Amino acid sequence: MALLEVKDLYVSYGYIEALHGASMNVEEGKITALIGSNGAGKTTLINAISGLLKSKGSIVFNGEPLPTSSNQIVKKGVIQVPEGRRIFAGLTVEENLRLGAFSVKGGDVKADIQRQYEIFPRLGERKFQDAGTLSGGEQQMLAISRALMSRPKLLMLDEPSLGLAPIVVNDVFQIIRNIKEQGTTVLLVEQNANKSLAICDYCYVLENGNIVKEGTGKDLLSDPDISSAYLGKRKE
Amino acid sequence: MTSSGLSSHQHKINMWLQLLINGICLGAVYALIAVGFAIVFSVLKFSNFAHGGMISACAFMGYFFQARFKTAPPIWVTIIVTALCGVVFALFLDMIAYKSIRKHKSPNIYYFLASLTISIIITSILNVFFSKNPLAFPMIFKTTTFSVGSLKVSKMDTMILVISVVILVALMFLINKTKIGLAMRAVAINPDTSKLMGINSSLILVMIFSIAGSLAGVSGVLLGCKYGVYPDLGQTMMVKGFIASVIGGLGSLGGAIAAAFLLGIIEMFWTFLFGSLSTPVMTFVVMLLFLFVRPQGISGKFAKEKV
Repeated sequence: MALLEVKDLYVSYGYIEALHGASMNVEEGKITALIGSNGAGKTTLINAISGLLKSKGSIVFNGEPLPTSSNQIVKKGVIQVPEGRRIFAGLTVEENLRLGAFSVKGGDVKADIQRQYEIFPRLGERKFQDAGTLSGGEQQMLAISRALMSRPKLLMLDEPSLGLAPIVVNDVFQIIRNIKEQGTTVLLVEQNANKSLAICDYCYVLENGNIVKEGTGKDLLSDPDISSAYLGKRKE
Repeated sequence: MTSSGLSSHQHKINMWLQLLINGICLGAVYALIAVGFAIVFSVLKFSNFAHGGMISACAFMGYFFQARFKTAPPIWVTIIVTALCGVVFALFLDMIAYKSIRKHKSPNIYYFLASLTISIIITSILNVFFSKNPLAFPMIFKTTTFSVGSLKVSKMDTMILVISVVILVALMFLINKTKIGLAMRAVAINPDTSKLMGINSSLILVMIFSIAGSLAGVSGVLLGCKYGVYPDLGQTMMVKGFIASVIGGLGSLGGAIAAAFLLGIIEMFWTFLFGSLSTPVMTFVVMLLFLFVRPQGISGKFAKEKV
């Protein structure tokens, strides 16, 4: 049984249906990628799982239907790192981290913050700085670190490489790999198909609100349709 | 000659000090109103004009609570009861007006319109039942002033100052030092992202309205004690709180408090020097000047909003 099972998920914005019955599984302890172009419905899908959008269909987590209100979903351990990072500008780095731990009952928040500073020393150096003054890469680190503060069972990242310098993108993907090795299940939503396919265990391709393809990263990398549409390689 | 010169000099200093003290006391009341305003603005980005109507309504509730007893209960009992009334009242308004706006995710302009309408309705209803002649709260103190050196300080003003400062300190502590306060600040920045932190954003909004309601309750009683209770009390005083929250930087609690004290002090001095008739003109001119020169207000927070 997969950790997260999404079945026949429909999401509409008013009269416009954005997701037409998408189904996908996220296996425990693995990195599952969801790739697709702009407007394919990736963010819609992830926001529906997080409870930010109303959806029809079933979302089962750990064998139980996922609650519908977002704060309950977070309590279950399903955490999203939103697109565009969405750190709280105006609050300090440390306050952002404390917010990440909002849903954690008990536990030593201070020790958890200290652990994050060990993983991301840059954040430790800037803990009392306004998070809005961080660079794009640092903000992405903060957003991921903030999500880890909630001790997630499933970490969903929405376009973590968006708008970052290539060298920083490599760092981000390395971090995602590390997170998986620590035992956290990852759902990675990306436009950067090349890099996502390289690190994921399994991948779904979303097009116009439908899952059109799935397979292991390796399989899809060698798939001619995928390489022409997403990897910029010509069909032979 | 020198001795009489000195004493008139001393007399002048006393006068200014007296004005300063009165200004600070006045500022304290403004601060309570301004904070009630600012706390709602910080989260929902609209000026909650219903606050004025609530202040009037709460002042009447406080008055009738006091009047029910043959020997009036201590003022703090009345304040607590009225603050609770304010909370219930705020929750009621939230239920009948704001909840559906939230549910439909309507633009914030609807909050603004709803709050303005509510304020007018409340004041109109009060005007139906009560005259414009202020009802006086029962006297709390046997003598009205006490002396510090050669200064005379109003007991009532001092009480208002102390109560206001205690409440403001408690509120700032809640907002800046507690987990729930941090959640409030997060919701103020971005309600959707706050949901992703596991924060129940709607609940936080209701809490913010409740806090504003309780502040309206306390300000209602304090204003009632100072000026008497009449239907337009809240509307009149709300304008001062509104100006203070604009000068302070919309949505900034610290700024609103600082601006409110500043406004109280300026008003006192202006009234002394140029008479009370032109005071409202002056306060609005100050507000305009701020909008021209420093629209982000004293705190400068509003302009810093995310890019």
